[in-house]
Amino acid sequence: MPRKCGGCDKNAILKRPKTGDALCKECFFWAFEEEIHHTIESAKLFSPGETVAIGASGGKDSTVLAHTMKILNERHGYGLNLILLSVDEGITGYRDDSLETVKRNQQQYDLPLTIVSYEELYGWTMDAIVKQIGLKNNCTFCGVFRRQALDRGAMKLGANKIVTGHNADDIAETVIMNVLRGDIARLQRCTAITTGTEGYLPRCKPFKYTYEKEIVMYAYFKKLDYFSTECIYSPNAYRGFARAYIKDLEKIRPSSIIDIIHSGESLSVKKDVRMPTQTVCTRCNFISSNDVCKACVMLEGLNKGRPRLGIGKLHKERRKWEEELEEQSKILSNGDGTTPLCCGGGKCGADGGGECGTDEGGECGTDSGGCKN
Amino acid sequence: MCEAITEDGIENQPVKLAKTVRETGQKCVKCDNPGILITRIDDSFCKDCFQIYVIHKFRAAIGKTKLIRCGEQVIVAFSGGANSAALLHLIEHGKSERAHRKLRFVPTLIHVDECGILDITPDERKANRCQVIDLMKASGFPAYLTCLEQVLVMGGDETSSSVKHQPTDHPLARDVTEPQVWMVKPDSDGTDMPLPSTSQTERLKTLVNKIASLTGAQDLVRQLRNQLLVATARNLCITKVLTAESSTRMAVEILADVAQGRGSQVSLNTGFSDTRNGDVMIIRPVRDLNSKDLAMFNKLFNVKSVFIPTKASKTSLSSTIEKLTETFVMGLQADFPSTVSNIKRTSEKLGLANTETCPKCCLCMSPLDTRTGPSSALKAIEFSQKMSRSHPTEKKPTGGGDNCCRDKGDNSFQNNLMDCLCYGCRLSLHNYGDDLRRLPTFVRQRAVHMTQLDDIKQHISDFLLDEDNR
Repeated sequence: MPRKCGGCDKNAILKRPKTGDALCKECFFWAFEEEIHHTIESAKLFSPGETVAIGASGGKDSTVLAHTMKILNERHGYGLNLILLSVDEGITGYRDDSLETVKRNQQQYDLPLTIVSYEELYGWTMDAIVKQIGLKNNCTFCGVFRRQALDRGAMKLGANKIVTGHNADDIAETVIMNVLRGDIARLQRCTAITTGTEGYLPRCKPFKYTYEKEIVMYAYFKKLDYFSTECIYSPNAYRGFARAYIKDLEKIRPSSIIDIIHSGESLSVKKDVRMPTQTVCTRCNFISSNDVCKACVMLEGLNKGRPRLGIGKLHKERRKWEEELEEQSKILSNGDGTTPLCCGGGKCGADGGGECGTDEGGECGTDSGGCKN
Repeated sequence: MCEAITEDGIENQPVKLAKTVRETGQKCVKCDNPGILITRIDDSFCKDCFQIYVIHKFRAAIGKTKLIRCGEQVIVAFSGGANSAALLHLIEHGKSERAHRKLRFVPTLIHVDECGILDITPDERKANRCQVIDLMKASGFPAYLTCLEQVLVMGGDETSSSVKHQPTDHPLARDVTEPQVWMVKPDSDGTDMPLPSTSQTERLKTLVNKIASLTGAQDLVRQLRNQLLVATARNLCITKVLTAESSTRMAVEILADVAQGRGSQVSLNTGFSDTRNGDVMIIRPVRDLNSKDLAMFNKLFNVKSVFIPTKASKTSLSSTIEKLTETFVMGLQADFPSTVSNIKRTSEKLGLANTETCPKCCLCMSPLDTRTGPSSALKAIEFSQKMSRSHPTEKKPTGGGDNCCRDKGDNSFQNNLMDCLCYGCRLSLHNYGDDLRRLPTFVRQRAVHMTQLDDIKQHISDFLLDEDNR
């Protein structure tokens, strides 16, 4: 006896992961789209006439996002000018393939596409960065650079807002991560639907309440063209624990994902807790919680052969660097003929700071986003 | 999934413990005696220094907060388990002549017998009781016993006196009494304590078993137990209740609370003191010690404890959210030794939004977190449910966020009662359906009171000046 759809009289073909209700294909599409519309309307994400850049990676989330944004823009008359914006991190065998998907999407959805690359913005591809730093912490570089790259690309295009495909699972995972790391500042802002409003490009997450499983279902039944390969560089291991925990929770109680987001939304921080203040980077004029933003510090490290400068405690790495330089000059001035420890640039940094970061675990919550020095 | 990295992309990650082979025969970090155990990451202690360490952590937590006054009566909630046995031992030690400075408060022990929800025979239940009573008697402190069945008859008001002020003809006031406790006499072996009537035990069982998920059932029992402890303390005119959660337990509870939609209550549920119940405060004096510290302490100093099963005993590791979280935290802790302290530190930075003006949940007494704006997880899930249950004729493009609210016209008792519960309690009771009427009297009493207050407020709302007061 086939189960009937909860919305009409047809036979249901799926059970919604979010509510457990049985629905037919059409009712599911309708509910999925209207829920995103509800999220957009109730949070007042857009105003008519705005140009909105859709962060498109070619993966399932951003593909479905581009698709639904286009549908809703037409159905509900948002009056938005939608554009696709991709970031080319320069990862051979991964991003070049997924960008092909985005290019196909451009034609399928008839939306203009712009690609900004790490190479043109920073002079470094991820492939080159990984050669320097290895497979540990490389995701940190990629994440920091991507945030800025999206902003820069969107500004270049004259966009008013950026939308990203972060889904409910991603947000729940981030809440758990921030509890585990004691990062109160991020814990507070990670559930906001729009971030970065002060003079900079706001970023919105219309999929904030959309389950990852339902996005996959939607893409599957709509036969959307997306790219589903994991990045070839090792995924973030610690985040993997949080991800596995969320998946296990969902098995016990499917509403857990929304419950965690509710927890994140409703918790409040004690008034006397010191929070990082937002300023502007003195080098690139971008938004930053320190005098020099993380991207600039990381770039400096890369360009001077000390790639670990942007990871872990800044002052510790700097001190180490200075000590090494001092030692070097001592050796050189003594002129005792021993080979200098360091060639003065290039490769030496890659193995010099292997241990730094071991002490950050206990302290990282007090001064999120790098240290104050 | 590199997209999933947070907005700034920077993630300081806890550092994995390097697996090193520890040398045997390390010396105690405090004195030169050979160490016998390792606390924290790599500090070895001898037996005496370990005792000093544990006692110091306990005394410092009590001393630092200055919440317990000299000569004040306190209740020690004693389950019989390892943590509460350790707490009892620490208090005994602090009250003894050996103590460097004697503890000044006056303890009274209370054991809540929760075996009513288990499928065990009355004889087994009595046997469990006897074991706990033996431990309580051994301490020499005054001790009481009560049972979870008492939540069915107790009233829901903050002060016990106002129970009597309720008009007696009120349907809810009729069967309300004060929660009963039985004093443990020095010569009693526990068999003389009456078991609750079979009908009461059955009522409690149905109450708990109505909840399909084990997670929800465990959560309900926890809330009921806390409310019973508070009501009992009130009845004995004592305003402080000490409970024995370790830091490990706290970390698990923090994460499990977040996972069960109780994020706004984390600071109440896991802080040093919990003030949500107004006149009676819950205090957690061993929350700076981890479960390993307490277990080692019990082992080294022959502290006896008993094991009393709960509904979740002998179930799989992923049978409840709490158990899953425990497995998760313990697993992480083994590789990343800062996990528990990281989680605890997060909770210490969390507070309460506005405790004064906010109405409270009728079951757990925490500030209601359900009066959210239109753009919120709660409204989103309500909208999703509506969308997947609505008929095609209603399928027209939906407007703003305001349409999603619950049907205002439906004024049934059940909706009213759900409105008086916080997000977490709603989750636990969500499949209760019509049976919400079976909830203990104290919950329904509070709900009626709250609805009345809301009605009155609505009545005079035009004349209230302060926005917050509306």
